[in-house]
Amino acid sequence: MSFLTPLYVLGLLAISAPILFHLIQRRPKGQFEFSSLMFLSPSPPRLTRRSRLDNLLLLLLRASLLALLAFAFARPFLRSAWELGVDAPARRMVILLDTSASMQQDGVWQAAQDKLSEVVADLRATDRCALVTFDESAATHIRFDSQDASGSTAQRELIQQAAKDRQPTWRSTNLAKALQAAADLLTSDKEDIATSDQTPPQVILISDMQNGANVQELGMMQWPRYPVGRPSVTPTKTNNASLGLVTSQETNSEETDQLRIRVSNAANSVASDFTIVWVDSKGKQAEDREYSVHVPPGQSRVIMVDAHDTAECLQLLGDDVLFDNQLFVAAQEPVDRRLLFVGSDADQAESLWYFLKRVPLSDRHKTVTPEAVVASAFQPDELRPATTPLVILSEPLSADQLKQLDKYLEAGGRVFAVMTTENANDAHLSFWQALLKLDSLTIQPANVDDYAMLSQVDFEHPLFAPFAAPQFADFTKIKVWQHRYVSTNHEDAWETLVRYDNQQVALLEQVRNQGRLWVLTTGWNPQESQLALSTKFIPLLAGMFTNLAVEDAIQAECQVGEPIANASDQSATVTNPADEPSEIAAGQNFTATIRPGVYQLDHAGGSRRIAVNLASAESDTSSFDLEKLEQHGIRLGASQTVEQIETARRQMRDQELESKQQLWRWLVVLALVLVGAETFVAGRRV
Amino acid sequence: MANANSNLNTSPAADVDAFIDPATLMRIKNLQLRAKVVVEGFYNGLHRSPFHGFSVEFSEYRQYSPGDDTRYLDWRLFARTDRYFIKQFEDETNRRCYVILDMSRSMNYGSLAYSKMEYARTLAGTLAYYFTLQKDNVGLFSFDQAVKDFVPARHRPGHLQRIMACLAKETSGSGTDLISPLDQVASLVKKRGLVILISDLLASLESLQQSLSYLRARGHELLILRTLDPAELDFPFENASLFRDIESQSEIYVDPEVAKAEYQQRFQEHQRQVQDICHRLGIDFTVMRTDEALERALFDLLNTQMRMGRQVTHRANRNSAGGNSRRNE
Repeated sequence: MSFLTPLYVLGLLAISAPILFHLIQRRPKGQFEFSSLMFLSPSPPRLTRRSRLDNLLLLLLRASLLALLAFAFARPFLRSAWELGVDAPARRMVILLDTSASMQQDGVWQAAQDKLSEVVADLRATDRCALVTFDESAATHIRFDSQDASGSTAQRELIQQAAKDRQPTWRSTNLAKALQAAADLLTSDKEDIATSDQTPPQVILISDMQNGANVQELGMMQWPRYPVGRPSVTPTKTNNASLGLVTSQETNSEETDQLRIRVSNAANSVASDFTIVWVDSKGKQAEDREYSVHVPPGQSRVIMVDAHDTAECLQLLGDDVLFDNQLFVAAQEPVDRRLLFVGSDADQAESLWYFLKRVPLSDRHKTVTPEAVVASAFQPDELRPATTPLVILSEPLSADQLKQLDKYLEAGGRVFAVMTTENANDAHLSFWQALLKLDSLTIQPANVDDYAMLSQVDFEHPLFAPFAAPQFADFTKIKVWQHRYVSTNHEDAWETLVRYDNQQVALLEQVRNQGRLWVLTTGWNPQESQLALSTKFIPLLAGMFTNLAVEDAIQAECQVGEPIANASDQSATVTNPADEPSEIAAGQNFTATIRPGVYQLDHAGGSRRIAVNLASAESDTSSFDLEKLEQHGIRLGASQTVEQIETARRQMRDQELESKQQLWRWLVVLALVLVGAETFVAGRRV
Repeated sequence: MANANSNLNTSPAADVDAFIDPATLMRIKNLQLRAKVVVEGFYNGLHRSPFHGFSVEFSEYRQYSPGDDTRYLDWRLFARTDRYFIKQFEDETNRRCYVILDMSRSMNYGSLAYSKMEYARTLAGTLAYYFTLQKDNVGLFSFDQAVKDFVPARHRPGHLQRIMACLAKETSGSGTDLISPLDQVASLVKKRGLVILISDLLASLESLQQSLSYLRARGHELLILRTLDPAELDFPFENASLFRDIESQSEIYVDPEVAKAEYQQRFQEHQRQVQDICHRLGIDFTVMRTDEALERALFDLLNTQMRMGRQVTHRANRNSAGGNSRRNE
C-alpha cells in the first residue's frame, strides 16, 4: 500500500492527545491576586500521581477514529496491480553556448565547458540534443536531425567535441537572436508535436548573463513558452573597467593632439583607481607617462590623453578582467578635400572668394583646400563627391557643364549656387532655370528700402539644427542690402530653408538623389549682405561641406564584426593586426574584423588605418536582472534532470491510480461507524 | 543605613509591648486620628530622648563679610585665629519635608486585614502630622505611573487636612513607574529639603539610580520606606493556582512548591539592588512590614536627621581645623 499524501499520516500523532489530556492534571480553578508577578515564572503543569487509565474502550474507539481519519486523508492506494514499467520519455533540448567576448574572462569559458559537460552527462540514449553557439549572431553546430540512434555515448562525445572546438570570439552578445535560433530549431523539428505532450522541450542557456547582452531586443520576439534552464556561469573576478574613445561627433571637439577617453567601471567592481598607458604593438609600454583616473563603480569618467606618435593602443591597468583593457586608436593621416569655387578669384574685400577662402574647414580628419576656377575652365566631369564634397557656383555654366554637374549631384555631391547682381539677371535666367530644372522660374531684383533681414529659418533642417538653441537662433542681425525674388508656379519645387522678413525666399534646397543643391538669393559679400561678417557663415559652410553620405570614406574606427568599407572605385587590400592581407573588390566591404586591433586599408589612392575595438556593451560584465527575461515572457527554471522527470511522471501515475481506487471513501465510512459506536459506548457510561 | 538589613529580620513581636499594634490601629477609621495616636504615643516614649534639641544645633562657620549680623560673630574663634567667622545654625529656617506616596494598584495588595496601601497611607499621615507638630513645612506627592496629586510644602492652618484628604483617595493606575514621578518631583521642588518615598518599589529598577541621584544632587535628603506585605517577603502559599497581577491583570500558573525558592531568590536580588543603589547615593532605606509598628518609621526619621546633624557638625569641625592649619602655615 502506498499513500498519495503521506504527510497526513503524521495525523496519527493526534492519538496521543486524548491520552495526554487524560493524564494531565486539570487546570486549577483557584486564583490568587498578587501584588506583582515580576519575581514569578510560570510553572509547568504536573502530571497527576494517579496515572491509571479509565475507560479503555472509549479511548481505544477514539484513537481508532483518529487513526482512520489520518489514513483517509493520506489517500492510500494499491500500487502492485497497476505497476507497469514505463520508460522515461525522450527529452529534446537545445544547448545555447555563449561565445561572446565577455566569455574570455578568467575561468568563465572553462566554467561554461564544465556546465556543458554536466548537462551532456545527464543525457540518455533517447534524448535528442542540439548545440547552438551565439555571440552577435547564432550558429547551429549540431542539429536534431544530425543525430542517429548510435547511443548516448556517441551523442555526448559529438556535442562535447563540437563545444571544445569553439572558442570565445571578440564579438558582442545578442541573446535575442540566440533564443530565436533555439526556438526556430525546436519548432522546425518534426517530432516536436509527437513528444511535446509528454515533456516540453528545453533550452539550456550557458552564458555569463552580462548586462550588455542586448536583452531589450527580446521584446520584439515571441517566445514559445519553452522553459529556459540556466546553469549559472559566474565570473570569479568582478573588478572590470573598460576604455572607450569619445569621438569628435559626440563632443564637437577638434583637438588634434588630444584624445578624449571614456573610462567606465562596472557596477559590481570594487576597485576604482585605474591607470592608462600607451603600449606599442608588442605590448610594451611606449612612454613613461601614465594617466591616473578615479572612477567609482557603476560610473564613467572622460579624461584627456595626449595622442602618441607611433603607439596605437591604450592599455588600462588596475582591474582584474583583462579581455577588454585595450583600446586601439588609429593614427589617422588627415585626408585631402577640395572646396571648389566657380567664379572670379579676385582677392578683393568685396568679392565672394575673399571671404570664402578664409573659412577654416580643415580639422583632425581632413585638410580642406579652397580652389577657385572660372566657369569657362570648370570641368564638372572630374568631380568626385568623396574628394570634392562642395562646389560653390557664382558664375553661370554652359549646358554641358550643367549636365555633368547633375551627375555629380546625383552621385552625392553638393552644390551651393549664389545669386549676385552679375549672374542673376534676365540674361542668365535660362541657366538658373536649367540648374533648378524649373521652366517657370522667374528672378527679379528685390526692391529693398533700407535692408532686409533673415527671419524665418527652418531649424529642423540638419543644416540649421546646430543653430536651434536660443542663444544662436537670432539671424535677424544679418542685414541684407540686395537680394532677388525667385518664384515658380511649381509646387514642391524646392524646400525653403530661410526666408527674409518680407517672406521672400533667401535660401532654398533641392534634393537630387543623394546630392543637395542650395541656392542663396543674395551674396555674402558686403555689397549684398552681412552674411560673411556674421558668426553664422562659417558653421553654415561647414555644415554644407560635411557630407555624411560619403563620410564613411574616412572611417577611422569601428567595432569588431562591423565591416570596413572600400569606398574607392578600385580594389583594395586590408591587412589585419596579424599582418595577413586580404583583397577586396571595389565598393565591397571587408567583413572579417574578427578581433580588435588596427587594420590597414591600402588602395591606389592611399592607405588608411582603422582601429577595430570591442563593442563597449561587452565590457559591461555585471549580471543583468533575470526578471528582465521573465518580463519578456521567458520562463526561467532549472533544467529538469531525468530523475526529476521520472518523479513527476510517477506522481502523475499515482494520482491516477488513487483516483481510480478511492480507498479513502471506505476509510471514512468506517470512521463514521466508529463515531456511532463511540457515541453509544459514551452514552452508556453516563 | 545600618538598619536596612536588620529591619527585615526584626520580629514584630519584640515591639509589641512598646508600640501600638498596627492591626488595632487600622480599625480607627479617621486617618488623622490614627496619625495623632501614633505620634503622641511616640512622643510619650521620648522623654529622655538623646536627640532632643537637634533642631537648633550648630551647623557650620562661615567667613564674615560686611553686612552680616555681628551678633553671630564667634569671638572665641576670632581670639584664636584673628579672623571673623559667623556661626551658622542648622535650624535657621523651617525644614521642608515632602512625602512621596506610591498609590499604584500593587499597593492594594494585602494578606492581612488591611492592605499595604492602608498602611502606607497611615504612615504618610503620621509623618505629615509629626512634621506639622514640629512646625515644619510638609508637602505631599502621590503617584502611580505619573504624579497624581501635589500638595506644596506649607505650614498653615488647614494644610494638614488638605494632605489627609489627598491621602484618603483610592488607588488607581495599571502599573508602577518610579522614574518619571521622581523626575517630576525633582523638577517641581526647587528648595532643598527632606524627601520621604513610601513605596513597595515593585517595579523595574532601571534608571532608578539616575532619578534618585538627581534628587540627591538637588540637595535633598532622602529616606525610602519600602512598604511590604509579609506574604511578599515570605511567600507562604501552598497550593498551585493561578496568580493574577493586581496591576496588569495578567495571569500565570504557579506551583509554590516549585516557584518559592526562585521567587525568594529573585526578590532578594531585587532588594539587594535597591540597597546597593541607596548605599551608593547615601540614602536611608528601611523596609516596613505591614505587620510592624508604625513608630519605627519615626525612629528612622530621627536617625536620618541625627545623621544629618552629625554630618554638619563634622563638616564644621573640618572647616575650623582647616582654618587652624592655614593659620599655622
